[in-house]
Amino acid sequence: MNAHVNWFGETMKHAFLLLCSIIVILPFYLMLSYSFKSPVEIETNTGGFFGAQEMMVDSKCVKSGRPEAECTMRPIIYNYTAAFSEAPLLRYLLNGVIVTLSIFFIQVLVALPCAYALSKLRFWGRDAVFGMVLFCLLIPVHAIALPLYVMLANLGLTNTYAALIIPWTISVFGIFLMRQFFMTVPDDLIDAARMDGMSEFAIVWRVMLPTAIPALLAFAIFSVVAHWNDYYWPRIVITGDRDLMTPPLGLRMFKSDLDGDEYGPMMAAATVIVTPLVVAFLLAQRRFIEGITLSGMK
Amino acid sequence: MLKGVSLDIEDGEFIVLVGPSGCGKSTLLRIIAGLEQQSDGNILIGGKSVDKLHPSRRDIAMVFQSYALYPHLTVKQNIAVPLRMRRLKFLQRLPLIGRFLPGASVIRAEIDRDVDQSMDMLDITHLGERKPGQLSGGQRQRVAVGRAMVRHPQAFLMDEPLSNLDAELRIHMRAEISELHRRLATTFIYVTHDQAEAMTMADRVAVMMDGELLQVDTPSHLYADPNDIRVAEFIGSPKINILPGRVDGSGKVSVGGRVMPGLYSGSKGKDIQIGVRSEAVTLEDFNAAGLSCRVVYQENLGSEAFFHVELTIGGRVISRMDPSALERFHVGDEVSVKFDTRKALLFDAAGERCRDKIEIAAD
Amino acid sequence: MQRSHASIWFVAPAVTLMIILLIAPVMVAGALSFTNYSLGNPSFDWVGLSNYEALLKFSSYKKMFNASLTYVVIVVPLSVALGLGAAVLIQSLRFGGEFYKTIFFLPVMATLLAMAIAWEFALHPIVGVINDSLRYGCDISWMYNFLTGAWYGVDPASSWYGSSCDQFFPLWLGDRQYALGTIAFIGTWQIFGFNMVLYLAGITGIPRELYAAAAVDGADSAWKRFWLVTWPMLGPTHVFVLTITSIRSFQVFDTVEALTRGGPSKSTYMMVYAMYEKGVLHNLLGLGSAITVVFLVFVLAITLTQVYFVNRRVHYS
Repeated sequence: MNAHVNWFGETMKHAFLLLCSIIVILPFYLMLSYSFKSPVEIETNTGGFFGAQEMMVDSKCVKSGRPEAECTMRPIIYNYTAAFSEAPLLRYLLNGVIVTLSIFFIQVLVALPCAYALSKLRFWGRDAVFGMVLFCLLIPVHAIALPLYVMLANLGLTNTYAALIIPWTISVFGIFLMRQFFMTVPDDLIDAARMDGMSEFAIVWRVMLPTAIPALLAFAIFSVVAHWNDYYWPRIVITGDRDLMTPPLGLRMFKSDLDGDEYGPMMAAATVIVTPLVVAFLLAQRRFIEGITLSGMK
Repeated sequence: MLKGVSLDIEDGEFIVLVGPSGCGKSTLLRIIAGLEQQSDGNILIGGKSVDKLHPSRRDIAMVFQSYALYPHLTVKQNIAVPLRMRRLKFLQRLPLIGRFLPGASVIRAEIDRDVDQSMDMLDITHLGERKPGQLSGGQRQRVAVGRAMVRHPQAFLMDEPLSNLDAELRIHMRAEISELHRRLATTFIYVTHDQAEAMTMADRVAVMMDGELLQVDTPSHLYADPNDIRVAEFIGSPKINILPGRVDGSGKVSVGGRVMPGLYSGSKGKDIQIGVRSEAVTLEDFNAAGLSCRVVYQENLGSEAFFHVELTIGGRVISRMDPSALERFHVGDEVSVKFDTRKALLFDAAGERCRDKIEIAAD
Repeated sequence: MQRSHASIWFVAPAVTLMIILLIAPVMVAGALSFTNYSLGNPSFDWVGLSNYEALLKFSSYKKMFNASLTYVVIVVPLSVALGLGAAVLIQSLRFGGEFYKTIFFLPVMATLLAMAIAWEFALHPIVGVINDSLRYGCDISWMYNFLTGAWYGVDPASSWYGSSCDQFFPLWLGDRQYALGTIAFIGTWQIFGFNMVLYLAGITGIPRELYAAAAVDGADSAWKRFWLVTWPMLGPTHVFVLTITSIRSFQVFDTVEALTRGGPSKSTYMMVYAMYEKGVLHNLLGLGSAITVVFLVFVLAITLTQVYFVNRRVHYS
């Protein structure tokens, strides 16, 4: 509205926002910084961001009988190697990938045909099914945790990948989203495919899927982020088997294992877990914001 | 981008800024309103410079193309906004407590009165409690005008207020706005791309193109006495016929090698352009003296007829004639055109008007 | 549109899963809440309303309701206001908006458990950065004066900062008085970026000409423009943000389980954590289910309120 810039106003706004940014970034900064530092530096909060990186001696290693020379290394090396060896961090990451990808994959398998049928096909009970979808949208995920746990426990399925994956295979949100999207696809496209001899099944995967890529992408981000970060469900359902822990659960176990002075490795582990999503976010911000905001669009 | 625009507007006049899309008329209006800043020059309202003043302090009101009514407020509340913003202090405007503060109720009653008066004048009192979403286009337009009126500003600025209405409603609203202008006797600055609107409503018209002000004049002068060929082509429907011509050494004007009887120009030896309106062009049975052409299209409007002809020397001309001519001339006929040279407008090659036309009684 | 038999096959997996994984569990939770079921026991009894009575009787559940509701009452207004404020400020900047947007959205994306642990360490009473900095300020005279309020006449020793300097700074997560507030702070930190993004989307949807009309009508300051145009036009967004934030706040678990386990003395004993503790850790599934049912009722109430508001008050067109 004005061609004149209110420099004072702009500066005040930036000052305030910068102050807030510092508070927001603080834990990220600390997490990263402590993952570089030696125990001494962590306790005394010295060493700047990267830590002085003076050689330190790993006391545990010395205690286990190895020569001191072998047990001397830079803190950053110590922290990260400890993170990967004390806890099976690589295993946790792998589980995270397996679980999130399986969930997403099955979600798409279940939701896409259902959404197509709800939006483009007429069949007896269509309204009832859609009503069911809407009803299920109202059910918060924490409310079904205990009963599902009971059901799975009685089937002996706790501590399995199945337990981690199965409850999430139905994504009513995904069905709803895809349906809304499919309703915007012109019927002519589908009729043309039918005339070409495609079966309904083929239409779902060869016609609808390609057109739905943008919506699918947003949904993928939403699903992957939500399940990579999920702590509640794995906590309930994985009760003993370390090899099955997802990243957040693994980190938690790591924390309770440590006797309180291994903050360096713990922060290193935390960094490793948080980094993939953060990096992906920084690279594709718009898509991310779209995807996560979608979760609210119910 | 506006280039060196200078405009004087009389108190109480209805002036229309007209021009094709993108010519800068809306920008000019917004600069007058204070919604945009000019890089150079100043704006004076009532003799006082308003350049540093916020739009709300310039004592002007504006009606927007999209009406810009507050969707969450009723019609009554919409119209009251300018009054509430000015007369009530912040505390008095607060939803519940504001009512009980001292002095507030008196001011509120005044505001209600003014709003009622405004609604009454525009005949929208019965819509008072409705929200803009429940109104038709024409009704919304009136509410927008009501909101502008209620403060009795020194000038009304209107930015293509009728563009979003259908044709019939538009014509009706033109009359209403003109009527309003008469009653309020306030300055109206009106922007439109429709030259018919400009011609019918304005006291004076300012024609703008490509950021330049080409001519500011009354409608009739613009029509009969344009300064620039662009103005001549923009004003008037159907578009003025333009033919290339030449002035010979003795000042005689010829088109396509044929001398125009009775038309002389001082621009000896130069190429010129001749403009004749369709009503100054008549068709005759083919004769050797006139310009030969072929009828390519007919338009029968009931009260008049338009003939589109293709000249043998090249170029098309539109002629307006009485409907009876439809029986004389048909598509495909070879006929001749005759121009009323008294009404011919001469322009030089660059488009500027040559006012050195000399008329002599036809030979 | 085509009548097709294929549709049954397309819909069947989804419907089956919906029934097994969503609808049935809700029923089971309802049923279990009237029993004293435990995993591993082959039999169980129907105990009528005694689980619900327990919820109303025992002080730990009073604390649970207290904690959950207090948390919601702190986090929701704070994160909504911060989200809106950030959105409005960022929208009005000439440059740098993207930078702040990214930063404020990071907490939403990052694994909450990991970040909570980082916060825990920052809040460590002895070694943590926050208390460290606060203590540091005790020795800097101008900061001491500022934070104690000495500059407008308050006796420094009696102010919070002053007495903390003399004795010790709060234990934050270990302190009954501060734990809930601290958890609420972390919760707000995590969620306000999400609200900011929702508000940004809402703001870009406001027609620009409304601001021009407001300017002509007399809104000559940013504050007036905000109240006349921005705030009312964000009506649908407000409802939305409030609902999402409220539901999310009821669902807080990660920070509680990792940092306080409901303590100290149940000051952070939130509903979902209680569900987990009773149902899984203590194997009291009847009680856990009762808490689940109550939780469900709260969430449904919020959702239905949203539906009501969206349909009635906020419908503009």
